[in-house]
Amino acid sequence: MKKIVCRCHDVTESDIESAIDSGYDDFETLKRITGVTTGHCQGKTCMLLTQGILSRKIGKTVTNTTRIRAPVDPITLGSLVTHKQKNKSRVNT
Amino acid sequence: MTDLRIYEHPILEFNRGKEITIFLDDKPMKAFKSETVAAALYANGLKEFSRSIKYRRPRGFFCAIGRCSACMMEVDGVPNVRTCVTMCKDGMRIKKQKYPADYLSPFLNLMKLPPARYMRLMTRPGFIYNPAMKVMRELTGLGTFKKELPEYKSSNMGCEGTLETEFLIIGGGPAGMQAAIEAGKRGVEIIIVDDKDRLGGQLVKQTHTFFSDVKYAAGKRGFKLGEQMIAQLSQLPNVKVLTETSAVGYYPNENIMLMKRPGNATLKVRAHKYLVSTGAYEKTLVFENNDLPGVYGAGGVQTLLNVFGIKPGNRGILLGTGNVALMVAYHLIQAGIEVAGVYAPSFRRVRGYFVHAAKIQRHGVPIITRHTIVKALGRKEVTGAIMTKLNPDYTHVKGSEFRVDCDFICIGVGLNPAYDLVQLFNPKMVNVSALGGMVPIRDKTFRFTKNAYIAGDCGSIEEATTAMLEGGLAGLYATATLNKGDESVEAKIDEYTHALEEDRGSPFSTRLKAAIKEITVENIEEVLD
Amino acid sequence: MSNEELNAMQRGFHRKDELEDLNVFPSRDKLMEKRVALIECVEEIPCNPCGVVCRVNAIDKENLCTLGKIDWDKCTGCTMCVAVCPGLSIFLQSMKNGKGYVTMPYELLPAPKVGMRVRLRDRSGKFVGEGRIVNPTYQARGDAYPRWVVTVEMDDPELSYEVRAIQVLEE
Repeated sequence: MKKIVCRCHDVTESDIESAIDSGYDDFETLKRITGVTTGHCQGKTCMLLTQGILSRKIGKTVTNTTRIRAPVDPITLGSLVTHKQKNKSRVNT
Repeated sequence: MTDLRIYEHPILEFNRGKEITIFLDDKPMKAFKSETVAAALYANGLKEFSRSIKYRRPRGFFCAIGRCSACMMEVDGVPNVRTCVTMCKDGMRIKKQKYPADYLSPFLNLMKLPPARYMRLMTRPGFIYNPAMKVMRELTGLGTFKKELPEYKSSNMGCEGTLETEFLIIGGGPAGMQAAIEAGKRGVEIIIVDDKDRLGGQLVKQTHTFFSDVKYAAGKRGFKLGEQMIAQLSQLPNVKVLTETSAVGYYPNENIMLMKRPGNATLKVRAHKYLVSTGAYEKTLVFENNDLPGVYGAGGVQTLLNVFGIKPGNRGILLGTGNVALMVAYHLIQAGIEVAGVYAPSFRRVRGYFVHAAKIQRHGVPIITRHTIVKALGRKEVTGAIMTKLNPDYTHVKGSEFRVDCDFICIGVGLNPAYDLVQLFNPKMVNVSALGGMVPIRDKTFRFTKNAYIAGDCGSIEEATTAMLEGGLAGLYATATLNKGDESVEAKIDEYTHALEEDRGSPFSTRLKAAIKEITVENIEEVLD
Repeated sequence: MSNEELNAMQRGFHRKDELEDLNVFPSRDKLMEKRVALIECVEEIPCNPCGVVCRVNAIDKENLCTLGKIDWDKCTGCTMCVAVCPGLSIFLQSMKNGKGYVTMPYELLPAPKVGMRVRLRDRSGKFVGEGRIVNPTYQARGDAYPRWVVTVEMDDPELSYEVRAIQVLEE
């Protein structure tokens, strides 16, 4: 039965382990080939689990995360559209 | 009609507000104004909220506070809405999101689809490419556009502009609120944001009474403490509270914090000083079938039980014997739900405080250490679990597997600090297991970059009481650097520092204290480039 | 491995003999004479409500993390510490008049009422008999509200060393 590590992209533990065995044994390339930590939650559920699996497979403790970039939570393109308001905020303060 | 709501509770009174109707796939469901969409749907018996992208596995909610993606549904035409943090409105129309080829799910689950190489398969001969890609797209959940694009402009859409303030506090839990109280009392202009619909952080779901010193929080129930702090903040006119606002990005060159606002909007905030007190994320476990609806984080169950008054199930098990798992077992007992057992692989001892373990044992909940879970049983939702005994080297004892009947499995295996927003400030990060995970190096005034402070679980996993004290200290130090303080600042700093040391005086905190000392420097600007 | 071979920290509850070794219980004479408090909290955690709330200074707490020690001569059995302990680990016990009495904190439903019959549970959750709710039973006010303080009477006074929880028998 499947052991899901990355819930957003359905990446199983054996997917990660076989990717590491095929030579993708550093966090950044592992992320790109399997898709872990790149989903909706941006790694909140799977970052530490992947760190642990990678550490176990390469025999050395992995102490970093993948590179974090904004936005850390999904936003829509429409929300970034700026309206022509000269530095005045529409928020009721 | 299924109604899993709790109407009688020994501690809490659920004032749910006005009863309204929402529609799931055009079927009317009973809901209340104070509930989130996920809670209301769960109370009506919905267990499967979505299907996963690749294997179309059924998913129920998991974290219940907007940190994972399991509860995403289409709400009023807008896709991928996190229903666990979206409040119900009368007449809301919710649809389950269907990925193409959902019918292939049982077949897909038997396959092992390789990750992310589809675009290189079947590119030759040319006439195969187009139909093959069509099939691949269906299988991998890349999907097709709907014929009519949904109409989801809201009256609030777009960037709401830029706000300027002196002190921006991200995260309205005990740390953030105490910082706002201390700095706000001394006249600092503050904006405090939180991604939920009210301040309080994890306090809102904590019904147990706190330990620590009577002077601060001991003997008070968590949610009462939260209410008192919110009341104190409402007395301070220079403290602006923005709820349902989550910080999604920080741009150091322009010194802009980008926030997500409700109604499809964003907001930019520029501040002189920042406090990041975003708390922690729940750790989870990997075992067979660990994503079935019914496998929940302990925090998610606590939210469901104590904030919304909804039963997660009738009989459950807990994994982990830390304070959170033991506390949630007690919450379940109080709600009248059967707890079949609390399991953990520990050999040395129950990991949490002994008194928490004692108070659930005496009510008949067994704590079974030296065991762990092998798999969760069930096709569409949890119907049981297979547990196994462990040898001292943590391998499974052969032939010791047994089945436990349950309809939910609660994972309470620890927290790790929220490492993502913090990293956007370009701090120096270290991985410290005694503190829970990735944390930034900070200095004695709680700064982790020149103008940003850190407090609470975000800096080290501890308790609400230490979060309060750290937040208070960060607020006081920020006040001092903003030249807003008076003579009382130094005295208060001494008081809180002394209280924090006393709180960390037990054997439980020895490793933590040593770890914090190691990652605290004199002046943060010397450590950063 | 059965529960007998595990120690208390691994099991999650104490046996009576382990608590005797830790001097949690007062002397038998004291228990026959009056109702006194005993603290079954054996770990140093930062916590001080019991020391603060005792009106006759019978609980000595050196600092925030040390274990509370009860002076059983001063203790009047007023139940304030039972109501306030955040760990729900302080109880009153007595063996007066040939019966056993245990006062415990209670935070479950149904709400307890004087006169109700209850099933008695020991520290491991095992049912060890039946008893009756008697006075003083009340709902504590203050920060820990709504917590009940319940006193249970049992026919066998020796059971008062074991009983630490109840299950209300529905009327």
